[in-house]
Amino acid sequence: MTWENYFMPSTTGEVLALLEQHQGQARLVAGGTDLMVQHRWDPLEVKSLIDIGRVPALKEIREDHGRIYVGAAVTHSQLVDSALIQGKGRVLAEAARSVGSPQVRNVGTVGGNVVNAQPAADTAIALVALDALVHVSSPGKEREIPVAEIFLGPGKSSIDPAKDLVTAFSFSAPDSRERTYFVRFARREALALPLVNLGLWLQLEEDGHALKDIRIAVGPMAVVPYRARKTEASLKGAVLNEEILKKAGHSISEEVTPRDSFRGSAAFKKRLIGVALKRGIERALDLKGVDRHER
Amino acid sequence: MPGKRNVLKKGKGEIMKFSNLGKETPILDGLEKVTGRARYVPDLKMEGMLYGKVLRSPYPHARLVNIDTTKAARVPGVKDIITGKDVSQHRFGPMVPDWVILPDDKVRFHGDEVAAVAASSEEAAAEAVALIEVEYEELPAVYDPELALEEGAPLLYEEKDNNIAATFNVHSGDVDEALAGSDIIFEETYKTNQVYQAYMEPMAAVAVPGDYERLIMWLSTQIPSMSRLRYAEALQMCAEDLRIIKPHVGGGFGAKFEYKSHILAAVLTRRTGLPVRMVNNREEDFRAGNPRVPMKIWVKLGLSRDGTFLAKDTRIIAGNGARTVYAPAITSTACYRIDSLYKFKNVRSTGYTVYTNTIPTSCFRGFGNAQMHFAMESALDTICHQYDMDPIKLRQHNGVTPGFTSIHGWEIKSCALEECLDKAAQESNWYEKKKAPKQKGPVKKGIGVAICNHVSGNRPFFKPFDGSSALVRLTPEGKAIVFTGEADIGQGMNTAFALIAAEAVGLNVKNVRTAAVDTDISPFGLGSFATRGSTIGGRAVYEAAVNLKKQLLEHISRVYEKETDQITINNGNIYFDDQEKPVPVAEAMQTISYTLGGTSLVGQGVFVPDTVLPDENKYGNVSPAYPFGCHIAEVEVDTETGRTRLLNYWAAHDVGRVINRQTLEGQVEGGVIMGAGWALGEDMVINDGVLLNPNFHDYCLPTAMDIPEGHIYSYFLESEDPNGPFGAKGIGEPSLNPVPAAIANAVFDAVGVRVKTLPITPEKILEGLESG
Ligand SMILES: Cc1cc2nc3c(=O)[nH]c(=O)nc-3n(C[C@H](O)[C@H](O)[C@H](O)COP(=O)(O)OP(=O)(O)OC[C@H]3O[C@@H](n4cnc5c(N)ncnc54)[C@H](O)[C@@H]3O)c2cc1C
Repeated sequence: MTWENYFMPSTTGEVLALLEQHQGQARLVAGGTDLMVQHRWDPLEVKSLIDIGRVPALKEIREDHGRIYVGAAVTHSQLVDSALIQGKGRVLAEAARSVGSPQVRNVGTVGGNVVNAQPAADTAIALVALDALVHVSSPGKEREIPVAEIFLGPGKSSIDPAKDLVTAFSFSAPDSRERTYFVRFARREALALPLVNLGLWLQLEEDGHALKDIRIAVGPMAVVPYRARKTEASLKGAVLNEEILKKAGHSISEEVTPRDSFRGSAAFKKRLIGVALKRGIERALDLKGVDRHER
Repeated sequence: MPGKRNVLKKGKGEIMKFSNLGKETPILDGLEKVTGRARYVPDLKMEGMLYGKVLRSPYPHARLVNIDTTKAARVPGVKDIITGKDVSQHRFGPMVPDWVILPDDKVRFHGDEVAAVAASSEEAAAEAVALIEVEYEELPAVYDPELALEEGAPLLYEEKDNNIAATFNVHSGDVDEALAGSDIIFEETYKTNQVYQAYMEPMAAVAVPGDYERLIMWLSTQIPSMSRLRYAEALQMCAEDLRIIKPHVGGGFGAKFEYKSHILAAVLTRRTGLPVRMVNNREEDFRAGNPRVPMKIWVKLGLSRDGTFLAKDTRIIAGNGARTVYAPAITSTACYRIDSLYKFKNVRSTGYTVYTNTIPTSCFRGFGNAQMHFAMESALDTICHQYDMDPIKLRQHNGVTPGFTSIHGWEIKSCALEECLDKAAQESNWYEKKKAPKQKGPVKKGIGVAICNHVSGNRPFFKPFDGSSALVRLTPEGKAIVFTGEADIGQGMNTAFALIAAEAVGLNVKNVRTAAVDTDISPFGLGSFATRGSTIGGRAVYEAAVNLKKQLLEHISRVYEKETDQITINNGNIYFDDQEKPVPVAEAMQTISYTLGGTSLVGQGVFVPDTVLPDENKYGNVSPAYPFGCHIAEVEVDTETGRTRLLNYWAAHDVGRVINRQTLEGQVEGGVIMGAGWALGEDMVINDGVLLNPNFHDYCLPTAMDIPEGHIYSYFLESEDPNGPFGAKGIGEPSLNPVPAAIANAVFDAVGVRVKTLPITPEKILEGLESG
């Protein structure tokens, strides 16, 4: 695998200039943990790579006017270690913690994870639950898109990494009645793609009992990261108890459409997602002690 | 004088005291391994070396109609391409002559070798392989050994009447009569799946033209001397003209026996006159390695009301894959080795090793005995549950004891099986945990036991002989080098040999090392299999060291004018009874050597075990020493997700004698982890003959995160075997044999689900929970 050029710009301006200059013939690379694996099976057509891992502005995590901003080149390890994310974006910190292994987390980035658009990409699921915005810069244009809207199909997003630079993700900082949680089941405890994963955001009524609002993002339950809107609707306004949780579990199992594969049958994944939802809500609201079976 | 007496012989009331044995000795080549300096076969580079690559069949069964290499040959850098038309079509093979160097008629599995290329770079070789045009005519194929036995199944070898590669039969006593007289009759079927050894270093060879028209082969192998014989046969050359060197090897676990691409590297070297390196990539290694023999095992057991075993009847159908490596021997082992774990009186067993259009299968730690342990030890657990017997006591009631001769004539000399059961039960709090009420909530804990036996050397494996020989050379600098043909492939045997030699001579192990195997220098050694290395190879090293010591004492006596019985050698020092100050061995050796033309002293040792080839009814003692063990697993099972986690593991082993505690623990922990991976998830998923998960992403080995760190406890019982060096027996395979059953039994204890087909997946547990 050889390239003619490997650029290491240090500002987003330089990145955009390089994209413009190469007219689709240069591709962004962050940690390379998806790109290099894909290149082995399906060689890249571009002749140049633009490494965005040395652009400080893309590696920032900050809070600004009630929104949390996460730079696209922030690594999973950075997310795991960030006090801000632990405190105000728990679902994202937990999702990042479950990615691959320490080596993969040290180089793999949240931007790469989202743009790569796998239906169960861990931080993508968390960002969908957080209803995050994607901040995109292209030569001559800036956009903000709700993250759930960029996914087009397995491995396909509306971001073209030979034209568009994702600069950051942002979501509103939670108030005291909001909770988030991440649940994941896999074949083993590390270096395993999830059989199912679930990102949860919920908001309680002022009385602290009924659910005012909820967002449930799940993977790999459809061709893209999936919002279980039917189940969300059935839970809005509910006062939580065992019975309701059980029903919600059934509801989400009915709602999702996972695929059969040798990695796990659809029926098995449907069953697990029900358990994941039930446990996610219990844990998010501290209804039960933490179980070591999930991470 | 402190540390002076080095007591070797155990008399009445005398305690064995060692200066080298029983300690935690890091492997002597550990530093170079962890710092990356150790050189393995894929690290080798020779002047003018070519890179070999194999073209593998994309079909499970197909006739080769035409192969066109014109385009491939035009790739710059390509030096040679061979197909079945370019090589002799004589047949050979480790057990059954069903191998050819390359076929000219048909391919029999997805991954079968079709052609090989040698080129000046890996890229050129890969490009050429992709450009070879092969016209295949697909043939009907069969993948399941049971279906392959059916009338009308596609034949892998058309000259044969059926797909049976080998049949094994044994019947001792009268099983039917014993079953008729049994109070308890138990019958069940178990299945063990195909799993991959997952050694770190893939299959590799470098072939180099040698002087005198000889051929040098650097191999990642566990059988340097035996593969030399076989490759000489394949290459139709004299074995003496083939020199095999085994440098560091990154694991084998049974896979690294005779291998096709070693031979292809040799052919390409002989044709081009240039060195050729042939290294599998990981995917090839999955697709065409030598994975575990899958088995379907029918078990029928007859017991009396008090739990005494009266009869065992088994039938096995085993998958051989598309050509024979060692599966027939593995099937026969599954059929009858476990019969010498218990005091059976009537046993019958039939095993069929059946060709299928899948990857050839072979040895994998446990060698068939592991497969049968899963069946037998699971069956006993169910019997205990059904008839309210205690699993520990039932095994103690029926297990073999010291001095017992088994139904197949196996002479159990040393045996601490009963003590292993007691130790594991005590350390795990077995009796209390069995009585404890189950946890509330979705996650349940469970505990399970399984025991094991194995061999330390297996006489029928290599028909001409079993045994070993060694040389220990003491240099003028007072350092000793052990020469053995036994192959350390990472287990730490070379360190064990050094420790044995150091102990027997009276040296410090720091001054002893074991040389890499080189057939030009090392004695013939059968190699690493049948858990024989430290016992049989170690005993030969011991004999060589004793012989060296005798010579050394005579020379010291001559040089220092002392009687030999006044001389003691310990930890590198020579003590004289009438003299306070010791003389370092190095100093004495220099004097000895310089007064004798610079000689080294060379001790030679031979160990020929007192074993026999079994007779036609498989009767006869096959191994000099039998190791035993007891494992107890504690798991928790999530009844909502079906997921099982290992919590604690207690492994008590009768090892005869602890040579090196550190590598012993390493072997036990490694065996337990490997067994847990097999039990809880590893599986080669084959669909229509194609392996779906030929990579470490989809083939789920346990990671460090899946193993409860610090919760695998090993205990060693020293039964002091009369044949082993200082009493030592083997550990490599017994450390794995009982693991899948111990875990399956723990899962049953946790949630009442009996999984009879490996691996124990969440799906099977959920299914079991649902069906009640
Ligand atoms: C062993 C292993 C284990 C893994 N385990 C997991 C896991 O458990 N969970 C999981 O979700 N993923 C996993 N992955 C996948 C991968 O590590 C993650 O998706 C990672 O976050 C990708 O980030 P990256 O920076 O390495 O992306 P890269 O490979 O650098 O890029 C991925 C894609 O995104 C584009 N891109 C990158 N940054 C930008 C940007 N700022 N703007 C526009 N386009 C961009 C690239 O051009 C490319 O198309 C694993 C990968 C490996 C190799």
